[in-house]
This record gives sequence, structure tokens and C-alpha cells, in this order.
Amino acid sequence: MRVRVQRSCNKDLTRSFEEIKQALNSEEFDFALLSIDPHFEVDKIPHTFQKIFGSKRYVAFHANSAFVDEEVVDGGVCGLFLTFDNKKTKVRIFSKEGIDRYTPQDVEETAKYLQTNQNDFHIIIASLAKERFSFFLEELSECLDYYPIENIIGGISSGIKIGQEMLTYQFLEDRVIKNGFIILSFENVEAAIDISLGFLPYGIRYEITKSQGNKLYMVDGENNFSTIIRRMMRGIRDFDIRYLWYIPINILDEKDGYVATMRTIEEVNDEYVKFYGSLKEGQHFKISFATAEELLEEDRRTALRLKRKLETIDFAFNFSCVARQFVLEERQAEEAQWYRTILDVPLFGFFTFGEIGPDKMYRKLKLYNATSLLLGVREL
Amino acid sequence: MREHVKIQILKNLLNEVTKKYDEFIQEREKLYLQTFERAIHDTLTGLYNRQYLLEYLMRIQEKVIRQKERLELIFMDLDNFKYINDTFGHRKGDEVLQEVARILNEHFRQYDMVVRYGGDEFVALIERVSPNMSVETRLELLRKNIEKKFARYRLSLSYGVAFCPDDTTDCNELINVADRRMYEYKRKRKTLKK
Repeated sequence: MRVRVQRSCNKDLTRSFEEIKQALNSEEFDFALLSIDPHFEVDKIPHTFQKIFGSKRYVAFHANSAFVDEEVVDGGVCGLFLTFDNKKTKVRIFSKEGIDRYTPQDVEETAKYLQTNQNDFHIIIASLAKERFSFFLEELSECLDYYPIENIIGGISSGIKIGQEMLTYQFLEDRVIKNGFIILSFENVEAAIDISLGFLPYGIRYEITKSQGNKLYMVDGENNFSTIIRRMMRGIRDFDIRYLWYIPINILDEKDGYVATMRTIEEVNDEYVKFYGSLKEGQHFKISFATAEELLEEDRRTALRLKRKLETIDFAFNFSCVARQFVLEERQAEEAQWYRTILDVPLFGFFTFGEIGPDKMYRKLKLYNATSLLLGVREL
Repeated sequence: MREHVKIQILKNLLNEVTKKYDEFIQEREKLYLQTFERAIHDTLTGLYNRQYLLEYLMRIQEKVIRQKERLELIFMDLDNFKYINDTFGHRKGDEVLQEVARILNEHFRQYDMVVRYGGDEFVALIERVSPNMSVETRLELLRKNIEKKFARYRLSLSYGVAFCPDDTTDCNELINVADRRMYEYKRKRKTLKK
């Protein structure tokens, strides 16, 4: 497989694509995967790509930040361009729109697609879908009845809020998928995944006594969790909600969790604390913490583990949570640097609003926060 | 870069843990106290129980001798209590015992130890008693109160008193002496009635 990663920081979409095309020496490719800053005009993206590259063999998605090799790119376009050596190697695309109002039929159809294509490796790139995607993923996971589920990975696009709408879209052919997802199914590849966490639980063990969806109301009986979290915010001037990303919660009861399930805080109000992922009553959790150094050390170990899993790797793909990147502070680029240095292959990735990966027993798909999922792929 | 923020958050987290730990310790102490109270009291009457009396006597024996203090142990027994149980049932019997306990608590000082020794037997332990106090007068008054209160059931009280160190310096023997004197008292009253 021939793999090229390119990027452009041009604020004009057409010029961005032109710069990338030029960097590719106008060479053809079999498939392109692009991250696109959400400030670009949405409706122009499919048309502009096709106009510049003369191809519909692509998928693009929103990302506030992405990276190619070691470089973190804010506000631009990053691309992964694949040319296959083997005629058997293909990328098929499955997509769904309207997941903000998903029905059981949507879940069944998606599960059937994944069940039917168990030999493929699937990358899911999804939108928040008005915060419904995580629930869709849970139900989808329940419908999958093959084992092990080690061929699915993904992430939720990161984006910006304009008015009432959160732009975490995906793009393919002539379409814009606003509240749905895309599954890229790679045929004739071998792939391996690993997960980097790094946050460790500390202090009090809480039990969720009242929650609804992503909102946590009460712990340990009648204790308002919002009151507890607001105590964590004391003494900090000019408080930014992102400061709470230093202390995601670590859910403990997940016996089948791959490492552990983390949840980062999205919002705090008087009645509840809202997370970037669902919670269930009866679960136990602790508040966790990590320094940038601890996260990077775990990244290093993850890359080493992944390297041992595959004989050779053609390219690596990283889904890294925006919350994790915030905690890394000025050392953000070091995560990609470690991956690049250890794996020594082209690296492509983006900062996500949630990561999709298998649980510890490979029986379920889970939505993770604050993690860095690493994928290695090679053509057979 | 945001060191001050992280430090403050960790301090707040530590405060939270400390607070929870303090609450846990308080809860545990409260539970311990409740368990201890349950262990040393009779569940029906709320008086101290026999086990606690025996342990207490063991503990203070040496102190009483060394500090030349005087202990008074009163052994009391309810006369005709069996009649109440047999005639009116055990529930009524329990009610009577609870009422007797209340009367005993009122009669003795707050810092005297009043014990339910067994079925219908009670002990009062008086520390640092004055040798000039007339114990018989007090106890006769107590007996009359009980007889008046439970006239319907013909309930009465027999008692025996022993003193440490006068009668014995051994606390177990103190109970035996008082017990024997109680039976002597019972016999005397029966003889008088005849």
C-alpha cells in the first residue's frame, strides 16, 4: 500500500485542496480520508473536492484539529491518501443519516452490515447527532453477536457550535451527513488496535444513584453530584469548564471495560453534571487524574504494544480525545511524535469528541472519553 | 502552563477525600457507640445487663480497695412476678418489667448503676456511699411504691444489701452476699405474714 499524508493551513477551501493536490504531485489514489476544519462552508466541501481531485473516492469529516505525522494542524485540511497494491483491497462505505432520531431499524441495518462483513476492518466516523450517537452505539453493540469484535474502531468528529447546531459532519460523494455516521470498511487488510488511557482513579468511590442518559444527578443516595463538582471548582478564578477535563471520572464496575471507561464533563448546572457519554445507575466510579507526563508514558507503551501486534504496518490512525489534548497542554504534539517515532509509518489522526473501541473481552463496542485509540493497518 | 489550576483542583479533591474520611470515621464511631450501648444494655428494659455489671465490678474492685471507697450492692427480686406471666401473659409481664425499670431509675441517682440481672431480678450498685445513709428506709419506700403501682397484680419487691469492703472485698462474693440476704428478707416477710 502506498500511503501519503498531506495538510494545508490555507483558509480558503479550494486553495487548501489545490495545495494538497500539488503536494501529491497530482498522483492518483484509490481512496482519500480527510479531516476538515468546521469553519469551512459545509455545502461546498463535496463539490470542491470532486472538482479539484476529480474523484468521488473519498470520505471527509469535521475536526477542530488533526495531525499528519508529528504535526498538529489547527484550522486546516489534513488528508490520508491510499493507493493499493493488491486489486483485492477495497474500501466500501456504509452510511446513515438521521441518527438523532434513530429507530430500531437503523440499529438492525447497521448491525446486519457489520455482521455480514466480519472479515473487513471497519472505521466508524460519527457525528454527535444531537448527543444521540452514544445511545445508538450502545444499542448497536447489543445487536452484534459475533466474537471477538476486534475489527471496529472509530471516533466522533470534533466541531464547533453555530447557533443551536453542533457541526460534527461527515462528507462523501455529493452528500453531507449532519447527524449520522460513516463506516469505512477495508477489505483485504490486517489491522490491530490498542488503547492509551493514563488517567488513574483517586479518592472516594461513588455510586450513581440517579442518572439519565449523559446526566448525573445523585450519588451515594441523595448527594447532589453537581454540588461535589462545584466544590472542585473552588478557588479557581476565571473558571473554564475545560479545567474539569483534568479530572474525568473513571467508571469502575465495567468488568469488561478495555482498560477502564472514562467520562469527561461537558456541563455543570445546579441539578446535574452532564458528561460526554452515557452513565448508568448502580455504576461505581472515582475521580481520576493524570499529568501530561503520565499520559505520554502510556502513549509510548501503547505504541510499543501495537508494534508487537502487527508484523508490518502501512499506516497508523489515531483518534485522540480533545479533553486528553487539553490535559497535554503545550505537549500535545508529543503524543503524535511518540507514535510516529515508535511505529515509523505515516500517521494520520484527529481530535475527537469521543472514541469508539472494543471492550476488554472484545464482546462489545464502547464509547470512550479521554482516551487515545491507535490503529495500525497493513495491506495483505 | 495551568499549574495553579491543577494544584487547586487537586487540593479541592483532597479536601473532598478528607471530608469523606472524617464523615466515615464519625459514622463508624457512632456505629461503634451504638453497638457498644446495645451490648451493655438489656434490650427490654434499657437497664445495664448482667454481663456489664460483672465486667464493671472486676474493673473497679482494686480501685475501691486502694482508694478505701465503699460500695453498696442491692440485690432485688420481684415477688409474684411469675403469677403475672402465667395469668396475663408474657407481653404483660414485659410491660411490668419495663415499668419496674422506670421506677428503679427514678428511685436511684443518675450515676448509680441499675442492672437487670436476670428474669425478674435487679441489682443496683451505689459507689462512694455514705456509711450513715439508711439504706433500708430507702428500699422500704421503693418496695411500697412498687406494691402500690402493681397492687392489681400483687407484685412486691424483696431485697438484700451487701457492702464492700465491710462484707467482702471480692466483688463476685458481694453479689452472693446480697443475694443470700435477699432470700433471708423474703423468708422473714413470709413468716411475718403467717
